[in-house]
Amino acid sequence: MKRVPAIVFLFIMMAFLASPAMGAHNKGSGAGIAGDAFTDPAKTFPMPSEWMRKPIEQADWGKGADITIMLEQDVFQTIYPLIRKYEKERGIKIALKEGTCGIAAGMLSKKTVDMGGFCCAAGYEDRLPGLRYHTLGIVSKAFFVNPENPIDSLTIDQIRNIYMGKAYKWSEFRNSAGKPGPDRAIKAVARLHCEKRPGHWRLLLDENRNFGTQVFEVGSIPDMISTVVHTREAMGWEVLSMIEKYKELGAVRTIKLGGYAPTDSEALATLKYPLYRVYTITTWDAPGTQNKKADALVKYLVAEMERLDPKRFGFVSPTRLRQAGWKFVGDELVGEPK
Amino acid sequence: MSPSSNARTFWGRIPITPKMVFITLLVGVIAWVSLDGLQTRYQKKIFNEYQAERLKDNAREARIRLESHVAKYHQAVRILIAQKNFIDYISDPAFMRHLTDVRRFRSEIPPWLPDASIMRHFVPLRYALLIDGSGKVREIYENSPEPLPASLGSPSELLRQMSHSQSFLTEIEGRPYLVSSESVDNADGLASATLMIAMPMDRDFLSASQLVETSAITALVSQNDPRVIASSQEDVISQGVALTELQKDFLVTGKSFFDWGGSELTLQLMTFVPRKELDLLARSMLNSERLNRAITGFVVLLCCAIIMYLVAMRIRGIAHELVGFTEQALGGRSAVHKKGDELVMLTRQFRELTEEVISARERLRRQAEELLREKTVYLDNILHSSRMGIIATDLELKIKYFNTLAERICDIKAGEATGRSLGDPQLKCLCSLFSLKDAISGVMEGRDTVNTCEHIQDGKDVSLEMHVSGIKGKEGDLIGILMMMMDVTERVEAERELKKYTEALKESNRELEQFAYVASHDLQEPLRKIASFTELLAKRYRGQMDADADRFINYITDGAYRMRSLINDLLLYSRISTRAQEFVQLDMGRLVDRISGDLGLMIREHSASVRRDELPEIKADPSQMGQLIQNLIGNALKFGGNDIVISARKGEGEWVFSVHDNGIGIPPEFFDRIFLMFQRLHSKDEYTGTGIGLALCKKIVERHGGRIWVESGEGQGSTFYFSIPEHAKDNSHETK
Repeated sequence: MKRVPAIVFLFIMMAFLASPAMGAHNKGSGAGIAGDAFTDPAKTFPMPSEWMRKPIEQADWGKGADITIMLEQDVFQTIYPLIRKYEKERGIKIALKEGTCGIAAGMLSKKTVDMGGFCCAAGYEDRLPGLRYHTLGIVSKAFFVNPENPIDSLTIDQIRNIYMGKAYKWSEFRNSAGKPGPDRAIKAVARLHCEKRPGHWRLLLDENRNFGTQVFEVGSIPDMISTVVHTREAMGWEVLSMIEKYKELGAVRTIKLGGYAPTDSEALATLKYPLYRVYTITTWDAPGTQNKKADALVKYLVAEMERLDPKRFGFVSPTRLRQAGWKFVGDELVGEPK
Repeated sequence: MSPSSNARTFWGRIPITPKMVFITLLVGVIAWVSLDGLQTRYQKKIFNEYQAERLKDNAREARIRLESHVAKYHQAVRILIAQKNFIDYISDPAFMRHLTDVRRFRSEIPPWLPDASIMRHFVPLRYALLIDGSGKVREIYENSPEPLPASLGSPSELLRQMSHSQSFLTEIEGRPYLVSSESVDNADGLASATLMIAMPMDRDFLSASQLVETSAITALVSQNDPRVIASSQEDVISQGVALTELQKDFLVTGKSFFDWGGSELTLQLMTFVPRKELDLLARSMLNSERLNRAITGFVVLLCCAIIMYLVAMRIRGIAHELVGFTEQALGGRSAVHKKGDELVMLTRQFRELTEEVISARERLRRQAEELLREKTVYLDNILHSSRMGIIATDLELKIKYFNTLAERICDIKAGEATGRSLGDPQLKCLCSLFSLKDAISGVMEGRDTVNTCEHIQDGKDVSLEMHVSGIKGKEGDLIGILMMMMDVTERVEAERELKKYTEALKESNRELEQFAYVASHDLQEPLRKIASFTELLAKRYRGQMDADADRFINYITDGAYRMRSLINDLLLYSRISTRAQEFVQLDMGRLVDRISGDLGLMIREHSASVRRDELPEIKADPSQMGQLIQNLIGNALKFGGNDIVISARKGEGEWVFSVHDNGIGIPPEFFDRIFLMFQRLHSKDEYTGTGIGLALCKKIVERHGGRIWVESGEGQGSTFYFSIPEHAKDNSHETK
């Protein structure tokens, strides 16, 4: 009888020791299910020597510009006005395009742009030699439901259960007033983008295969919002700036996560609100690729991020992140606070 | 005459009915043509908006299908490497032996893939590469007439990593490719073999993604200098066409990136719908709508034309009626206009009638003004000639009118007084007359006030009677105050004189009554002595003295008796005032019955009868009423009446009693005399009496506030009437 508690204790201790990422990474109550928030900045993806020697050859649309930039659309939405303002103030020419993380990564790998912008932390394949990452901040990933759904708050575990297919009906949950949800099957909508990059939805469930079979996958942001708008039982996720951008598609209602609203930037800074995206921007620092004007622009953008209204889209600036104990290497955010 | 005026004349002469029908049709057609254009444009716009919305949904579906199709390739690779034949093949040592040559399969399916019966139900595979653990391509499956792009023959480490565990879209030798790979790990956790598939994203790929062919074309468009890279229907939208060119012929919708991060293509997915098809659809719908509108328009137009025809016919009738009326009303002055259509006729006739009405109205206005002026002057003259001072004010007591006599009374000119308030010191005379405040309050409450007061005018004392009343408007509402002052000095003086004389007369009457009473009362005793002693003298000495002495004694006795009767009657007469009793409720029927009983002997002596009708109760002096009835019955008996009837009827606020007899009657010329004292129509030898009886009756009736009169004729009997008010008041109080 005396040996049973000792075995249990040993098992718990082993489990604890076998999970070094806990605390260092966003595993939370979904330990083992949630993926890493960041990749190791020290590991660079090896590239052939001819690539290493290759200078930046601006894409056709960027020829003649002082700086050529390809930005993921969320980041584009956030910093486009700042870039145009900077361009006007400095009297320089900046060629700027909107795309996706994949497009930005592709152009960087082809060395056709001076700067790339991502809505996710850098993946291993993104860490090209000579490429430097600068974090602009993090924004909360908001979960939202159809406005007819009375559910207004869920815990991270409840959301994991929904996406893992362990929760079937909305009536299994109650809203903050104690009212149960409708007796309808949950339609969990997912956009499993940037699968090879850490963080974002992988903080909820690490891999595609962790998501339940009933999950409805969409490929684009408007499809995600539109599906929830038109489906009473649906639930999805997106950053607040994109919800705002596509509001003409119809109304959705964001819910609280563990009692914290996605606009609560302080809850996000202290990881009480545990799901977020990382806005990063890159510059080259290898010989033959460096663009001093791009370096100056990055400094300007990082400084300007401090001026953004944190509550508008649940945004946390690099300075606040540092204050809250988040880990940085250079300008790049590489780890959550302990 | 110019051609245009000819045309006008011709047009003007056409009757209104065909003209209105023609105009209705013309306006209707023009309106229909104009509105039809607008409606068509509007409907087209609505249709296009609807189509755009619908196409957006279609594009979204197309995008989801394509994305699902792309995702399937990665799942396909995962399934393929888990197949037994794949595991067996890469586990075979023979696989490791061929290290130098790359084995190619073109027309046959390699042994590491399932057979054709399975493959044909998989997503279409164009190229499949079997890569060994060192990263070297060992075998290639080319299910296409085009050989595998050379760069794919030795894929870079980055491509292998990016395509691993996902469907990765990238550009290979200028063309978009889907590349996906999965590895089979050995016991050390290292990849022993990797299966990589590559699919050019061309027409076949895109059309396969859409499952069914629709008019919507899915295409990949480059982001910079937008041109089509690949389309699901290249015969319609071929590779390399600029987007700007396509926008002319196609509706472009559903623009989006491959937005899951597994694509480095700077491509956008778009859906194109041929405008020609949309236009055809729109035209078909619009034509159908236009036909409906045309039918509706025609029916409406026809209805309007019929209505206009009926209206025109009515106008025609009115025009002819008006012509007839004008001829009748204006007679010779009217020039009947029969040129032009009915509207022209109506216009001219109306113009003529209007002028006539205006002229008549002007005449009437002038006459009315003249009449008003005359009436005003006349009224002014009346008011100024009035023997009353007249002052009119508004409700704020501001003087509005002041007549000549008012000027004299108040010693102020009308011009100065007008506009002043009644409380103005200049109009002190008014304030001194009486309490204006009380009078005006009375008027406001709806009461008129009459006051008489003293005033000094032209240095003389005058009496003024002041009437204060309200001036009512048309609606009966109070709009001002009217004060009328009349010099009543003479009347007041006369009243004073009259009062003085009345008082004197009353005093005289009182003295006379007192005298009559005293005289008659005091005369009783000596007269009784004279009569008694004369009777004694006659009894003792009748026949002892000469005949003259006897006759003289008889004269004395007779005179004494007559004197006693006279004195008794006079006493009765005076006692009407002096011994009057209070009025009480009196049953006249019972009274008449009692009097008839008292006079029973007398009635029987005259062989007469006294009858009565139903008689009322009245308020009266019972003693005097008994005297009245007794006198009237006695009078009737005395003058030959033997059938006496007493009746009563209700008059206005009074009871009228009648005592009817069938006696000798009274000639009408004596009707007034009979009620005077000591007036007799017959000698005392014919009928006894003092001549006071009816005077007594009259005095009794008058004391009760009534009247007495007689209706009679000689030999026709008499009817004496007397009235007693229902609420009789004692009229003798002044003489009591």
